[in-house]
Amino acid sequence: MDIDTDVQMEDAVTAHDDSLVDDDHNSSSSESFDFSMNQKYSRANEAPGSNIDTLDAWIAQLSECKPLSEESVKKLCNMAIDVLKYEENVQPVNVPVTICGDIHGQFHDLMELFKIGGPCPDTNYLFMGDYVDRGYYSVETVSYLVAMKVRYPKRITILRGNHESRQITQVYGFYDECFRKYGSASVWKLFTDLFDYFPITALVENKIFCLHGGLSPMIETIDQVRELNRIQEVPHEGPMCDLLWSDPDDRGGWGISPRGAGFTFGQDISEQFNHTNDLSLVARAHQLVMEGYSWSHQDLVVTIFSAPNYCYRCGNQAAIMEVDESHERNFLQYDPSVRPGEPTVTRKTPDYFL
Amino acid sequence: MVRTQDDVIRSTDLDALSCRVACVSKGYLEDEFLKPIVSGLIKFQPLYSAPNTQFVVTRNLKKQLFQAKLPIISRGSYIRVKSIDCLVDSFLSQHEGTPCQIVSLGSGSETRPFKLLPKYPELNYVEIDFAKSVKVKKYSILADAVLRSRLGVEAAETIPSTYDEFAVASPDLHTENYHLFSLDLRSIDRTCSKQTLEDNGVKFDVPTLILSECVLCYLEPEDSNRVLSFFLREIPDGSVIVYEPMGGEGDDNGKMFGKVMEANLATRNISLPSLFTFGTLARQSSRFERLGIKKVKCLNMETIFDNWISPETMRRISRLELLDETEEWKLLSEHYCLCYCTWGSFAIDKKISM
Repeated sequence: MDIDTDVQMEDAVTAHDDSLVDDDHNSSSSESFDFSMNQKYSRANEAPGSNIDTLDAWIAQLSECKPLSEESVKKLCNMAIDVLKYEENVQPVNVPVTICGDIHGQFHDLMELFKIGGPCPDTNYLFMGDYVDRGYYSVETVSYLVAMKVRYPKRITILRGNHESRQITQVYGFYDECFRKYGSASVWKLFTDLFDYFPITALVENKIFCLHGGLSPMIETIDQVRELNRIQEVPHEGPMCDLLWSDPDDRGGWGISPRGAGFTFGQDISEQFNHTNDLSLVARAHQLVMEGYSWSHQDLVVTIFSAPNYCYRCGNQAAIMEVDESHERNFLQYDPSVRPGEPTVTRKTPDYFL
Repeated sequence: MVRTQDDVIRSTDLDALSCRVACVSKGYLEDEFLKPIVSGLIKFQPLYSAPNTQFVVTRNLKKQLFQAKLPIISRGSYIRVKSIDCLVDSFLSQHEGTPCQIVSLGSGSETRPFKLLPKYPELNYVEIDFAKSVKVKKYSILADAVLRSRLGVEAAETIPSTYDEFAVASPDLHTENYHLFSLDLRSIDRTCSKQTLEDNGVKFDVPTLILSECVLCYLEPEDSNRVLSFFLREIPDGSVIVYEPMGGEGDDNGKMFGKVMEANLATRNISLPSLFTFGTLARQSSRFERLGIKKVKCLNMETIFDNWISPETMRRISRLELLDETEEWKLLSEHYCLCYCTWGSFAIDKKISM
């Protein structure tokens, strides 16, 4: 076994210690406090071994864009709840990390993202939501990311986007896709129930505040985010809604959002928020930007969008942001993946006004 | 049946119709004549196919017509239909009580004559399209008592109901002030003379509004210019409304959306020969000005959406669907234009409010 495998095991063991194993195993591992490193390792390896194998098999299957069985999705979601429920509303993340924006079911472009950014778990990832809807492979995309999350819980962070909700997915495709691929809404139900557990923000080294949408007039400090009860459907209004829906704007102050949820916030708001919370940057996703990333508010806010040629229609580039050990930022831009063998002709052409 | 390039262009009317069906069912638009037009299409369009394949055609037609549409597509279809309706109303109210004319090029499944003819007895309404489209529309009208009464058409003695009967049925329909006939627009001013059009009910001595709703864009620029020049030369008091996509201009970024549109539509064999020739508002304007039309207005659909809709209407349509596609809406709507210009009596500067 090489170093990489070792790292992976450690991650999975952590998850296992948190939750993945039943009481029997927990009690036996509690007796093993004085075991040598090796013994501990091999012992810990026993119980989750089957989980790791299962997860690796699922990941292998998903990486070929083949959806899991309904039974496997059920197991996966249960495992994921046991990991995610212990994460915080403001999940702490260390550098180095690569921060990514919307994916929206563009599975092949997600694979391209991992090629550009480096494979997980060698590279740590932070995804800022919107895994489902719009693209044709929401099921495969969200299954893959959730499986990776359970397999490497310390290596990958997945936040909730405004599309990780029961209401939005019924309009924008994920519900229909689940129905089409599984013949019922049960997989949609499993995933949308899981989405309630996703953390809503992350904080990289106490300096970069990451979330899907933007700021809220009801949130002045990051501690206030920590006090929210996030385990629920995304509400129509209020601080949790705003964090997932708001957008930065050229106009100062708070504004009414054209989206019908959340707010627009001006540079004065970002200045105040970053100052109050001693932040260097707010990183968020949520908005299509043609270059894949876009600075606002004199570099206090950055938008990152990771779905190239969004909806197979927009012609935009995608980007991810690497933050290294010395907090240096580097953007990697990429175009849609070339996918030989993918049946583009059978894929429905996106709608135009004809 | 061999699918010709003309059939491909005809098929775009199905896209437009299915968008209007979605708009009506979601409450954006009201159109009491859509239902009989849709029923007629489902009844007669399959008669072009061999008897043993007609059920497949019927099934596919229904699938396409009643396909769910995303909010962005409903909104775009709404503003397209409504903005043209407003200009048409403006033209007609300016000429109320005096003879005037609408010539709808490639009219397809549009329902405006059913609404307008009973209201404006002095109006002469001309619809020109491919023979196959015209024939379906003619029998859709003849098969429906409401449509017949709106146009003052007598019930037909026989309605074709088989492949053979439909094949020999004549496509054109003429009343005193309604003329539906087949013509390849590219033949205008070549094999089709002014006399041919006169014989089919086109008047050249009354104020005339020519409509091209995603029609001229399927022609080579020299063909569409010849069509416009012909009307400009032959009709002393004429006006034109053109709605169509614009591909953009300049470097790759400026043309990216248009390039993706071109590639996507190419998978359906649809080509838009003037997408970049008339790719911007400036290029659209100069296209008309170069033909000698003095009063020209070209707006993109985003501008029209933001400026023509009254606050009440905006409130009403914003409530219909949750729209989470604001950037995409901007991108899509700024790539479509509504150009209206006149060399006659149409006062195009009147403020429009819907």
